[in-house]
Amino acid sequence: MTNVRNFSIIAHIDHGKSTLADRLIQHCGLVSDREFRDQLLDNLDIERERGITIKSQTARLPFTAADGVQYALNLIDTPGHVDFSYEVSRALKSCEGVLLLVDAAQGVQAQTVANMFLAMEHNLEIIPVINKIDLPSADIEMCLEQIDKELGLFPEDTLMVSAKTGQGIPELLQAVVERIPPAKGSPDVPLQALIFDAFYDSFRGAVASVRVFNGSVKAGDTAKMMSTGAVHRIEEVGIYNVNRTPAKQLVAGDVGYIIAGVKTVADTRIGDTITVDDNPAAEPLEEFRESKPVVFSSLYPVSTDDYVELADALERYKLNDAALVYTKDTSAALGQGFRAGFLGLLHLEIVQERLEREYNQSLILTAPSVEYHFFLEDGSMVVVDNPAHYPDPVIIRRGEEPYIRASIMIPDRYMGAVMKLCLDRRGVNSELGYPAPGRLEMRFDMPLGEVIFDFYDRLKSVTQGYGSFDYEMLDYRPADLVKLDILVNGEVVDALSMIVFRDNARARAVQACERLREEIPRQMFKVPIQGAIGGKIIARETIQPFRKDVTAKCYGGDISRKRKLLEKQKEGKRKMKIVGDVEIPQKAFIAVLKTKDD
Amino acid sequence: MPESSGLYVHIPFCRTKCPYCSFDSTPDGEALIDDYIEAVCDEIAARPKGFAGFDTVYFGGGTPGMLTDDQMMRLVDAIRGELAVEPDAEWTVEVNPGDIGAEKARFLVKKAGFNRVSIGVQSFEQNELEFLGRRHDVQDALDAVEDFRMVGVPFGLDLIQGLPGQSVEARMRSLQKAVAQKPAHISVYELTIDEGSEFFKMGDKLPRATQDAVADGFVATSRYLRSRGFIHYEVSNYSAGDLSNASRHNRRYWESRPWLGVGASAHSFDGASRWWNVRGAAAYIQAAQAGNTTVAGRETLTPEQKRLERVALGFRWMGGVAREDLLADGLDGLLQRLAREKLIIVREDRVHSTPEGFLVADGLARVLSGSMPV
Repeated sequence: MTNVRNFSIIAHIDHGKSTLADRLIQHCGLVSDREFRDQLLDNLDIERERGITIKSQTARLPFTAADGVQYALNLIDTPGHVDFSYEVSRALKSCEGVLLLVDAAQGVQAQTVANMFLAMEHNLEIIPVINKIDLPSADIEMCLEQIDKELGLFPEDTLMVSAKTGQGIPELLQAVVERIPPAKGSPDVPLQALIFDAFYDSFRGAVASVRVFNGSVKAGDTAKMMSTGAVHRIEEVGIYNVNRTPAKQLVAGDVGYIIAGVKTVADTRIGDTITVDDNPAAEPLEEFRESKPVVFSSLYPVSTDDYVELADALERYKLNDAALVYTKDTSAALGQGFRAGFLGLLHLEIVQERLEREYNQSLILTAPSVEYHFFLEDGSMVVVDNPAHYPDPVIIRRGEEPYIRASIMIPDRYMGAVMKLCLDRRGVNSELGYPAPGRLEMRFDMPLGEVIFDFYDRLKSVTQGYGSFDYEMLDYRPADLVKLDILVNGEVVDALSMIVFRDNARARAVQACERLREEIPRQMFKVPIQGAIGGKIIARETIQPFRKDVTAKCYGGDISRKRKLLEKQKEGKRKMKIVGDVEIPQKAFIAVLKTKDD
Repeated sequence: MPESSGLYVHIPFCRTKCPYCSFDSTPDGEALIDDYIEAVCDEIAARPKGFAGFDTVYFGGGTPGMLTDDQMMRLVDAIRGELAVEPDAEWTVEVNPGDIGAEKARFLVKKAGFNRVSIGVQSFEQNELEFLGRRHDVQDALDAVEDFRMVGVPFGLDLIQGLPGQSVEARMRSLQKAVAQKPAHISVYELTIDEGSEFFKMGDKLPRATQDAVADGFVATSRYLRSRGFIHYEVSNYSAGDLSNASRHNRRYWESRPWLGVGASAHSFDGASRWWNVRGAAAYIQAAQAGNTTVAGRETLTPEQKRLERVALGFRWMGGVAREDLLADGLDGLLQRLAREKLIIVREDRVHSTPEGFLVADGLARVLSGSMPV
């Protein structure tokens, strides 16, 4: 155990965490250079494209230190986004130390600070590392200053690397050995293994990534999940050499995986403690906490025929993402679908993209919503996350909506723009902090409902990409809430309804109507598009009929083509979303959710 | 009496390729023409059974006027020798101003026997002819008209309109000049940028006329020509006086009546199946000389496909569509609404497009066939 080090890399988004992880793996010879792919650890398409880590992976790096001793360095990769802070925190709990990565050009950012505090909460050794020192725009002086002033760490402890070129990598590995404490734990007491990640293998079922804190575990043991008491026979334990490699056993201090014939990752819950049934630990390593969805949206197949396929895809997807919750939902416009809860907007986008890419689903998502509380005349309270369940307004006494505490880090030149954005989004209770010269931290209490509607995109836009954003849930506060309906050709498109703050309703309605006018193709007839609260129209646009759609020539050779067009349309008709006799393209549903400046 | 047939002969040769053209035609192909004509004669001789009583013959292209007198006679003789062409058959040939002189005009009518000529004048505005990449000028067009008038044959004028930036006034000037020639027929094609044309390759570099400008121009064209005694009988076609000057041959296409097409990329229809020949003069000659079939593809129509064709074609011309072919949900309401918008005229058992309806004929077919929502 004295030769085991467990550590994570934490960083602000895009500061090079994945590149560094890949470089470490390559340097330790886990993969040949030929096999080396960029960003080895981020193996989801969407992660690779967006440069963020969502599902973490783990690797055990063999490293021969300067003293000639062989060490096992367990690199525990962490998700890199605010929606997944719970997963980050489980990963960190499994470590004794972290590499805190700072981009040499960008310096300390909001998530650098947030992640450092997380690491400090877990009493981890923190090694500051300045990455991308090869960049022409690298400002190492600035970074050292920030590490001193903003993070309170010692500049002289800071390592300089370029994950891209490999510069400084051997020194970094040596520092991991020297400065991060050896893995703790006793092998001779009952097993306590923390699940810090889980994923689904279509052949083996759920695979739990664990840190063994005490005791040992081997194939043939009977595992007991301490949160539920469920028991499973362990089929295999092993370590991660990038790929899974079976091992005889895992002992206290080790990081590895356990396969126990569990069918879904929902039953291998991140944060749960595994012990063995015949010699159980007295208590779990920590109290298990279920992650709670805060953003809700409905998912519909573009073609109503594909509902069963979507149901199947969701079921399979869910095997790998315990945080997603969903139930059945129906819409007059979109047919049968599902109401789903997400950890945040990014989680929503990830689920959507993965369902589309990996499971070949064509989806329509409805406007994201939060959970509203409505107190009714009869004294009861209903929780509503779906506009379809908005109570009859005459029986609503008052409504409440969830608030967050938003923390925004920006260069101070954007203060005016961000202040305006946050006030527009009903931010209150503002506080300003100056963590370093030229840098500004703005804190606001804001309705979560304002944030899930394109806030992050707007923030990025008004700060030219420099703004970063984090939040924590606060409480519920009173709000005057109404249900906004959108009508196409006189019929309500239920999938476009949303619960909104009354004062925002008109602006949202106007925007939705404009977007739909742009996205719905001109038809044979004039098509009115309206926004309404109750029966009252508050916004209106009109799609003018098309004037010309005929081709000039149709002679012998053109006839088959003309007919095939009609045949294709007939075939496509089944798959269209038709409301009030108007075909609404999928992209119209999506466009309604975006603002103009995107 | 068995159904009569039409014959279409494709001449895929041009002196130059016009930038808007995506048809099968080969510039600089003159050396191929003799072989091509032999191949077409072979195809006529080996035609499938089931075509009898040809009452229309149509030479299109390309540029049929490019053929020498001998070449043309070789084809005409083969047609008259092999096929039962009715004595009063309509014989149409497409010609281009600039390729044609008084001699050629006399030959085509008096010797070859064409009794209907379609002259590709395209425009009577010099700058428009240049934009369209035509080799002739306005005077050539007027001369060609004069040549055929002297021979005493009814002629039609083909125009292209809806050019980017074209004013309604420029449109009208061309139309007035066209009408002044006293043609039996006028075709007005709104410019389309077809895949495969030079214009298409220009992409965004080519300005496009807006939908509204083209629609306004189309309506103005139709109103003007109707005021001058023409019948707007198809989207792009006007006949002087009455329908007797309409193209009998082209009506075959819109009425789903049989025709045999010969030559490269020509399509045929025998009432049950459609088939089409290989594209390109060289490929066509090669197949014919090797003794292979020149047919590149074939389809036999189901009753539903025939219905969709009747709907797709019927709204494009005066013939209209039988009500029983219209299967849209809520048909009566739709018909009422479209009639109110003056896009259609509803008769007891048929529905006809108005001239304004021609502009949205594809939409009418979509909406009323039952293949699309409104």
